[in-house]
Formats: sequence, structure tokens, C-alpha cells
Amino acid sequence: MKTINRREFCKLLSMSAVAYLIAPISVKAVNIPEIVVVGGGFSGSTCAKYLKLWGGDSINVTIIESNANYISPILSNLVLNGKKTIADLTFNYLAHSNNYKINMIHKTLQSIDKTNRVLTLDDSSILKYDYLVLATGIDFTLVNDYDTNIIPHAWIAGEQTNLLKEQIETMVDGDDFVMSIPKSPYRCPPGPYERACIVADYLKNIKGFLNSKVIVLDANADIIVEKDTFSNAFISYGIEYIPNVTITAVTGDTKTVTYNTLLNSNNQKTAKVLNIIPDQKSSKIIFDAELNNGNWASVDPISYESTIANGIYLIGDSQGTIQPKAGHIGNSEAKVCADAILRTMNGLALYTNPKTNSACYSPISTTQASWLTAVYEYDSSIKNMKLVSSGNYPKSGAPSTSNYRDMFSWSTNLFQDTFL
Amino acid sequence: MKKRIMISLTSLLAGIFFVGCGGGDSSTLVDGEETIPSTYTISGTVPGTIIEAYCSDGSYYSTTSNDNGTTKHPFFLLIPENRDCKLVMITNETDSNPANWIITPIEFEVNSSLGTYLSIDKDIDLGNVPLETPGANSWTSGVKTPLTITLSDKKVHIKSLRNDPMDTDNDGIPNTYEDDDNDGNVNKYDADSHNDNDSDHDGIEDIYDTDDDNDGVMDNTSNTGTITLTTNFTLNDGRLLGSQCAQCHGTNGRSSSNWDSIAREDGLYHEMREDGGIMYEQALGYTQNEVSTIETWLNNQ
Repeated sequence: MKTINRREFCKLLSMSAVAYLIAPISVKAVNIPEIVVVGGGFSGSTCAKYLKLWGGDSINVTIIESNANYISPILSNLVLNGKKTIADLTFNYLAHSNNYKINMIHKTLQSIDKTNRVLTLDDSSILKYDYLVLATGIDFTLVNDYDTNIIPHAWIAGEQTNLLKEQIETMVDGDDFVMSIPKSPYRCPPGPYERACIVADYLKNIKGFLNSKVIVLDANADIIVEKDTFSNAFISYGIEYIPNVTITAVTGDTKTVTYNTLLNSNNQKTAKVLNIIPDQKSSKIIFDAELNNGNWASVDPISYESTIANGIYLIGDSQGTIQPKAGHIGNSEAKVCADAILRTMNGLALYTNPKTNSACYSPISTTQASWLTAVYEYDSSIKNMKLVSSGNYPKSGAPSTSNYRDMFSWSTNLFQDTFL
Repeated sequence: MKKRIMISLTSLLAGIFFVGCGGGDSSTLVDGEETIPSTYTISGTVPGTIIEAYCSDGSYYSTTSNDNGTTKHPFFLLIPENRDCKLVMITNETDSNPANWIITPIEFEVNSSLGTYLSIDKDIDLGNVPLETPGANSWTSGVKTPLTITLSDKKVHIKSLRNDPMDTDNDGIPNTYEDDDNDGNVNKYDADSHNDNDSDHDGIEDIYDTDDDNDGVMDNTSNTGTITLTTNFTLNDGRLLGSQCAQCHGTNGRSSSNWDSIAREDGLYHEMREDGGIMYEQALGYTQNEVSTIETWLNNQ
């Protein structure tokens, strides 16, 4: 290295200053790509984490999430029978902030300017993005205007779950529990069937109610997943199962549901506890930003980029591929999306055959659980996912006590992979 | 127009102005897993100053320069390695009223690029920083437009963020030195400026702020600095495919539950099929080639 003495240094300094005055060097801020992830559920949290795990300091990732904590719907039916509390299912974003240097903003997205790639939040502040990931989940379609604080859905975990639990605790022997199952697709396909089993088991075997009934009104023509598991369980619990139900009215004051079946119109059930799980669609922001095709967001799952707007990616329950809507596969989609964004940003070709997988353990009592699983692969001819043919999916496992234990091994690692 | 100075950084110059800068401690293991990051020194000379660092994890570091009887007081500020920090320098800091201070945010120019954050993995010397100060030709109190320090060391890491939580309006002045309620007092020293979620007004919400009162003492270090992030994305098909194992077997194949860790697993293809139940069914969804690609990646975890 050439060494200079102090006098030469001072000369150098003054020359530089002169040089600057005559010909200013054009300098540009070292801006690194901005990726904004909206929604801190299983999909959004996983995507943000893996973007930083794989992209590191070459990118800046911001999560916009209204709540400081996330409450997992996975395992939340176990709050109803007292095996878990909401606190057990509550996660924070400290690891995202501390370990992965993700900016956390607890505000709500109001609007998306797709042309200028600018987001406006509920306090009027703005954020710019180069890549936007929307993991904003579901919204409900209510048949009429009723109060979900009287007729809870408990399909977003937290207060709603506690509310349903409190209502169940007011039941005495002879009171009925009536619940509905939405038209597919909806979040967590086995979830409502699981709930019917958990509540029936709780009332019968823990509360000792011999005269209370659980009645299931299913919008679908039949049990849509794990049919053997759930139909056997329904028989053993004495659950009354009514398929092909179209709900026409819900009355909060009297806790009455009015519905049609294929054979009869204007049937009614009135129950001590009425748990209507409404039909579902993408969250409102997807519709406001015109990123939907029908009820769901239209994406190409080689990357989960919108087929409607460049630079916007949609993962999790709001995306409209054939994949189920659930936390495990939302986590799975998020990694494919994170990798695709990083490849695109670095001018690299996308991986041509991404695979995702779905897995779910369903408790059906305080000691037994079943499982359901599938592997999906990308099909470039239809630009959609399809079940991998070699696996003859979906596959399921019958209820057992070992599966009940495995359920917690599964959820522990799923939670870790998403939030830690 | 922002002020601009040119400072040449050489080991020789460091030698002219200072003797030994310290820092550079090697990593220490605590409880076998948590690594305390090494610290390094930012040094230079200033005309009598508080030197502050506001870092992106909310941590805060500060020092004052040493009066050596000249107009160039040396300073040494210790910062943990690889932490993105903004620097602010304050002169006339002996005045009891912060409204009379001269507060200068610092920007960095490296390779003709500008950065508002600096992160260091070695000692660096900023040289002499020509801040406004009482007694100099002209000075006014208040928050200045950022002063750009040009670093000739091309290996210094700098960056700017367009979505900068610590400088929301992107004007180069950190949030803590903005005057959000326009009462003449900067947020940091404004008794009536309050934001319940951000006590020190640095833009990092208290729950994510490792030092939410900026007292220089970390509130909770248990979860900080345990992961070193990569600097660049590298292509890896095995990692993409293998990340799909993590829902059940943990990130990078390291399990937190009773289920197996699969990092550095050998004979993966057979292992997946040996176990019955859900693992066997999952195994049917992957080709031998795919599993071998995953195994190669897992062997490096």
C-alpha cells in the first residue's frame, strides 16, 4: 500500500474538496430490494422468515400484521375440551425481528397502488415495495346480518374460540349443540368434522351428558375428507349428520338456523349453542385490489405470483389453486414463493417442478387423533398444482393414541418452522 | 445541498491520530449455544462531541470524544459486529437545553453509493468529521441535514432502506430527531411527544426494541445475534425441496419435538420408506432423484 504523510493527506483532502466543487460525483443510495409481506399467519410468517433465511442481508423484509400476536387455529378445537388454552397457541414475532431482522409493523393495509407499487396503511403511512406477498387469509360470507358474538364461528382462533368454549360451558344435560360446515373450499377441510367429534366427546364422556345431541349441518354432499374416520366417529358419538344443507337464515336472538335440504325447505333448528361456520372467500383486500378470479386469488403456483399483477404474490388460504387451505400447506407454499422471489430478483430461472405437501392431525377425543396427508407437484400444462400420482393421495391414518401423541410432535415443529 | 467531505482511510492515518483502538474480541460461547457478537470500534476526530449509534434492532450506543486540547478530539465508539447502525453526532452538547444542540446525522458514501446504515466487521476510522460547532465560522443549533462521510475503504458495509423504520420519511434524519408535533422539541427530548408503543421514538416498537429506553443497556439479549444472515442468495434446489421436510422435522432438518432431526441424515430414501404411517405416504410423493438432492443439501446442515 502506498503510504502518505500527513501533509500529503491534507493536500489530498483539499484537492478532493475542489474536485467535488467542480464536478460533483453522482451518488445513489444503496437501496436494497424491498419485500413487504402482508399477514403474519402460517403462510406470511414462513415466507418472511425463509426470505431472510435464504436472501439474508441482500433484501429488506417488512411484515404488516394487525396483531402483535398470532393465535394458531391449528389445535384450537382442543380449547373447547379444555386440553389447551389460547395462551398455549399464541405466538409472537420476536424471532422474526431479532433473529431474521424483519421489520414488524402492527398496522392494517388499506390499499394497494399496483402501478406505483405503494401500500397505504390505516394510519395513512405508506410503504414502497419491489415485491409484495399477500398472505391475508380468509373472509366470511354471512347469509344474513347476525352477530358473530352471539353465534360464533370460532374459525379464526382467539376470542371467538373462547366465546364458543364459554357457550359450551353453559350447556346442561339435554341442551343441543348445532354446528354447520361451509361449502368447500374452506379453511382446514377436516376441522369442522374434528370439532363435531371433540364437542360430542366432551359433552358425553367428560360432562357425562346422556341427553344432549350434536347436530351437524353440512353444505357439502358428504363428509369431504377422512370419510371412514369421521363417519365411524359420528356413529359412535351419536352425532346427527345432515348433508346437502343450504342455510337460508341465522337468527341470533333465538339461536335458530333455517335451512333447506335436497328434500325439504325451511327446516329449522334451535339450539343452546349454535356454531355457524360461514362460507369463505379471499380476504377483502384481494377483492379491493382486483386480484381475485371468483372467490379466490388467481396465481401461478410455480411462484405464487398473481396472474393479474406483476410483483404481487399470493399464498395461503386466499390463493385459488387446488391445494387445500390450511396452515401446514400454507407454510409449504410460502417456501416455494420465497425461493421464486429470490430467484427472480437475482435473474435466475424458477425451479420447474416445485412440490408442496399437506399434513393434518385431527383430534377426535381427548386421547385419539387421525391424520390426512398429500404431496402436490406443479403441472406446467395447466399452471396449477396436482396430486402426485405415485402416492394415490390423499392418504389418511385411522384414529389412535399414538397418532394423538404424534399430533404434538407435528405441531411443535410446524410452529417452530413458522415462528422461530 | 448536503455537505460532503472526503476522508481517506488508511491504517497509516489511524496510526497518526490514535494509538490502538481495541475491539475485535473473538466470539464467546454462553450456555453452549448463544454467541455474543464481537465488538469493533468506530473512531475518528470531532470538535467536542457526543457520538451516538442507533441500530436497527433498537440498540443504542454512545460515547463522548476526549478533549485533547486541540480542535480534533478523538473518539472511540464500540459497536457489535454486523449490526446496522445510524450515526448521529452532537456538538454544543454541554448546553443544558437540547434545543441549543447542533445535531448532525451522518451518511456514508462508499464506491459512489450512499448509505444511511453502517455495519462493521472490523475497526474503522472516519478521520476528522468537520461538524458545525460554536466558535467555528458559522453555526446554528438544531437538527442539520445529513453530513456525508466518504469512506475510501470499499469493504465497509453500508445500506439504505426505502422502507426505513428508523427514518420513516426517508429524509436522512432519524425519527428520534424529528419533531413530529412541531413544538420545537425533537421527539427524543420532547416531554409531550408520546407514542405508547415506541418509548424512545426510534421507530422500533418497544416489543422489538432491544433497548427501548435507549439507556445503552440491552433489555433482553436472549434472542439476539444467534443467527448470522447470509449476504447473498445462492441457488440450491435441494434446499427448496428439503425445506418441505421442515414442517414436520424442523427448519434445516433440526427437530424441536420427539420426531427425528434429519440434518446430515444418510440413506434418506430408505429411511423415509422404512417408517410406516404418514412418513411412508409422504415418501411416495418424491422421486429417488429428488430425495438424493435433498440428502445432499441435508448433509451440509
